[in-house]
Amino acid sequence: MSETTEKHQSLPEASQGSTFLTANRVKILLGAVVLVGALVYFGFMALRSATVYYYTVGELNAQRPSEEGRIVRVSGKLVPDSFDRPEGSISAFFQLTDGTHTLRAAHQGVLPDLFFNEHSEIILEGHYTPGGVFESENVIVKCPSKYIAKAEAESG
Amino acid sequence: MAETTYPTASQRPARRTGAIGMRDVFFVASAVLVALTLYLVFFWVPTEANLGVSQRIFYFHVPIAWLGMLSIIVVAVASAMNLITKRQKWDALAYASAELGAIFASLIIVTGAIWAKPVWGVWWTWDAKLTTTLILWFIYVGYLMLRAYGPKGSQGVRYASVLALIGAIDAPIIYLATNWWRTTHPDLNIGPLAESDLDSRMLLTFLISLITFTVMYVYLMMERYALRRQEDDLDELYRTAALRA
Repeated sequence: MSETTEKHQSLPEASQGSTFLTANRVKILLGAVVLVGALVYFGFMALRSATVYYYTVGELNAQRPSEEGRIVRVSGKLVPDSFDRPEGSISAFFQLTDGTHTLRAAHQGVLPDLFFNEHSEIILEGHYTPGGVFESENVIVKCPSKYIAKAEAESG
Repeated sequence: MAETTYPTASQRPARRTGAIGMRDVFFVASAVLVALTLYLVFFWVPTEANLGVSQRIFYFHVPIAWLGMLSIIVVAVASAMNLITKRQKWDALAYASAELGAIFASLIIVTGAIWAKPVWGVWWTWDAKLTTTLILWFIYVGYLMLRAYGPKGSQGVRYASVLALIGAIDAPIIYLATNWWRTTHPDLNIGPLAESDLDSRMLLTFLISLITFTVMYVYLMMERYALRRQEDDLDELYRTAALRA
């Protein structure tokens, strides 16, 4: 039984073609190119969107002149009582704040349930219009990081 | 036709039928813990005040994410051991973990999307945490494709090992993404770097779920590893037989 390991090692591997560009190698090369390409692309996307994933209201206001028309994300909290949706309309008007600065914004369409929660941070994807209103195309609600149990009485 | 010279399969004793092994222990433990976790998540733990019932996905999503990150680290460590020692059992371990990791990485994205739609309002957004998780998924798929279509034998194993070693860097990046960049995810609320704290019942449910999923991972690893070893033995038999013919 002791010679079995040596026998094992001496077995050659399945033979490969000796020329450099075998069909197998071309396939691997193509696979590697696609994979590395995808990684670089997503890495780039991650870094790019990470640095500007969203601005705060103050940061966006500071660079407002150059931001007209360009799609950006801005994050802030809903200013209490600023929300207004005209009767029968799908357009909503509201203001976001980062504590010191505020931003007037408009959104057309459905809003997530947590939009009106006082703990929610709201991220808008959109652009400035010449009137100075931020026209939102997508609303993303960043949920609160602290989980609180619902009071027993109201759970059901 | 000398039967005795086939090496690897005969070196390991066959599993005795009837004996209770570690695999059986982990199988039973997984089954019991999964039942317990399901009970805790759906009947015992309180509903979250702001997020409502959808927050219960948290008890699956985060343990699955933990395993997705753990798996690639296991693949990388086992690959490194295989490169150093040249022993095939390390490679079997790496391969088994890569297959499980691919499943968990897929489930991270699926459970995340199901949770994101009601809470964030979108299925997907290109923030740092989501993007680096997608990269992890591509690393697993790339690893498995490299193993399936790459060169046979030790050369293919080396290529895949390098991919795993580089790919494992992604795991801590995913975990720390919320600290490094602005993302849609909440700040870390579990682990040594967490700033916020959880309700005690939620924390207990989460920890039990984490243990459950980890035990299940170990059990699945045992099964897949044993199967992989048998596959390796079978390959060896075919190769030996082919050389004789």
